[in-house]
Amino acid sequence: MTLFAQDIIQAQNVSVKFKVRNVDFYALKNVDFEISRATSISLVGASGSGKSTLAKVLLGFLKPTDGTVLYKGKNVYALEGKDLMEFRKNVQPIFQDPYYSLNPVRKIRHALEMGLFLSGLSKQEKERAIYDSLKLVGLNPPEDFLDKYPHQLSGGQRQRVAIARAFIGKPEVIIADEPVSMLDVSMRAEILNLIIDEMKRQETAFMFITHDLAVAKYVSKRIAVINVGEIVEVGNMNDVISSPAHPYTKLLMDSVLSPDPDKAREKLEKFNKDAMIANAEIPGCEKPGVKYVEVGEGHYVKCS
Amino acid sequence: MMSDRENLERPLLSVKGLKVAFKTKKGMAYAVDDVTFDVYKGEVFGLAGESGSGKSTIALSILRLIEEPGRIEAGSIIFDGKNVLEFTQKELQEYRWHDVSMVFQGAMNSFNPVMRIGEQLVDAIMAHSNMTEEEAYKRAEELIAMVGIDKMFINRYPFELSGGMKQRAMIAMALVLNPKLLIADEPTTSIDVIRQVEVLRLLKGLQNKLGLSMIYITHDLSLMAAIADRVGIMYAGKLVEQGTVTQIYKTPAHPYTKLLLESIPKLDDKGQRLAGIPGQPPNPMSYPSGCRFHNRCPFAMNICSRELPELRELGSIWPEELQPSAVNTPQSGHYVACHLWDKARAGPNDTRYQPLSPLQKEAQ
Repeated sequence: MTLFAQDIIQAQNVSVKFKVRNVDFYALKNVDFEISRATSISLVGASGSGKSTLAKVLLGFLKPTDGTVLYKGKNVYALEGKDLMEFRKNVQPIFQDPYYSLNPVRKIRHALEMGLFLSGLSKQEKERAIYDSLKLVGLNPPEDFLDKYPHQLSGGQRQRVAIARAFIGKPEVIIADEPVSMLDVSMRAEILNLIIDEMKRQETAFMFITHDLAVAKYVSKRIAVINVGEIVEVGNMNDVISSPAHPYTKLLMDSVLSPDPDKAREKLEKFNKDAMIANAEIPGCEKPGVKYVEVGEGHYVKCS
Repeated sequence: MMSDRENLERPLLSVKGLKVAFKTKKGMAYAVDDVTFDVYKGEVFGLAGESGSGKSTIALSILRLIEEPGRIEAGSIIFDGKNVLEFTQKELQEYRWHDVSMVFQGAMNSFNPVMRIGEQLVDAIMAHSNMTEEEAYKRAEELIAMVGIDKMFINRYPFELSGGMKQRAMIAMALVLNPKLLIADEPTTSIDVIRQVEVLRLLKGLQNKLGLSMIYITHDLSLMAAIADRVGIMYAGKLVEQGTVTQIYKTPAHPYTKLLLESIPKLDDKGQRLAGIPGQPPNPMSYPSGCRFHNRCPFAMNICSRELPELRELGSIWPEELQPSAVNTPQSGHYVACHLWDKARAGPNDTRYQPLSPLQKEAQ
């Protein structure tokens, strides 16, 4: 887990500890994670694995108990004044639930204006940018939506606004936490395509959090798998999908059913969690003190 | 094959022309509109559709649990030869949970939080049978073991169980009286992917072992593919397609089914772009005229905006728009409600079957 020169955000040895009934509970434990310029990485894990906690830590919303988060080399939790403004402008979130992520008493126009707050554009340029961004996310004609309140839009339309808002200020990084899981299946593909197109067009770095491996593969070039607060495997998407090395990643792969009755039935029949966990040997991990082994180029696996 | 079965065997459950309406401030919402299907003994019938398509309303209707402002307006529900819609309160009590039970959506939260799991099972058993408390407790233990929960959890409170365990306990609760039909309404929606597969395996195993019939309801077509024998696809209160799981997935005959299947990312995809379906499912208060899918359908024709297509067995000629990827699947027992199937029979000059322009779609 090398530091690349093009890293925009780096989490180094980050831990987040909560006290539950006086017992320490680690939501994240010694996590290293990077978001690099103009690339996309998916963070995949089950509920409770620490996915959203890591997102909050990277967004500057939750100060980790231990470790540091750097934005272009500077500690995110010590940023002030202009630097903090730059960080906020350049690192944007998209949340899971479009029903909660827009201010209910403000019009759509306001959400987008706020995205341009630090842009330095003139009033006319802002108006132009707002129109363009709504068109881009398929809310056309924009004047039909600008003066509406969030409750007047459907869930899919709201998520489109949230995406427009995130992209409008031309950020360097977008961190999206399960952005399609609340949407109906028939609308998901369009929203995913929208995100992919915009990401490519603006060369935005993208972190995509999901529990769905197939969605992760569709969206990202790299993948990190998280389980119980620890990153267990990270690498290029195709490498990890074609040769998963950590038992948890394998288990996750075995749980992904496909919309094909023959394949889905076969997978369901063969599924055996216990056998999976029992076969937990990773070559290279037998040496004492090894935390991660590199099993392929840029493909790291955690030793348990 | 299926039609042989249809001729020979009486279905366990027969839903015919079911229509359920909810009275709202803004008018009547027809959540389920003229839905017909059968469930045979020992099979898993899947109901798939998006939120608001009417799946759960069908489930509640089968148990006669539709309450004001909802009402079953038309149709019949025949279980084992008896008309459920004409049951008296007493007959209903003997029918619910004895004959048909249900695992509800978000079932993890349907336990009483201040009663131990075991007590709740014992309660249910004793309320519906003549067992003594001791016998009931024994039965509860049996059930807990059957769904793969360690015996020690029988005296725990719901909050002491994990989400997956609560889900299993809920399945045990649904099986206390040995029902003939189990309705599972999105039983795995709120649990993570690995536990999802475990619960699915459990349900499939129990269904085989106990010879249960099951109605499995989900919006997730991948889970459906793994568990169902036959599938009905719901859209906007209508059953738009019905067939064996192979027919539905290998040779979808309705544009909605076909597009929906094509818009799901798959792990073995080779990087092709997903098409998606434009627009969004309609509001039950204001369905589009004609076919309810026509304003999202890339193949919509003039007739589609005017006439509601009926659910009929497939014709022999596949419409060119829907050319199936597999050709050897038998078509008998495969039903679809789509005008494309009549297009081939109509002449090229029949204006009813000419494509609908985008402007016309907009105007609907």
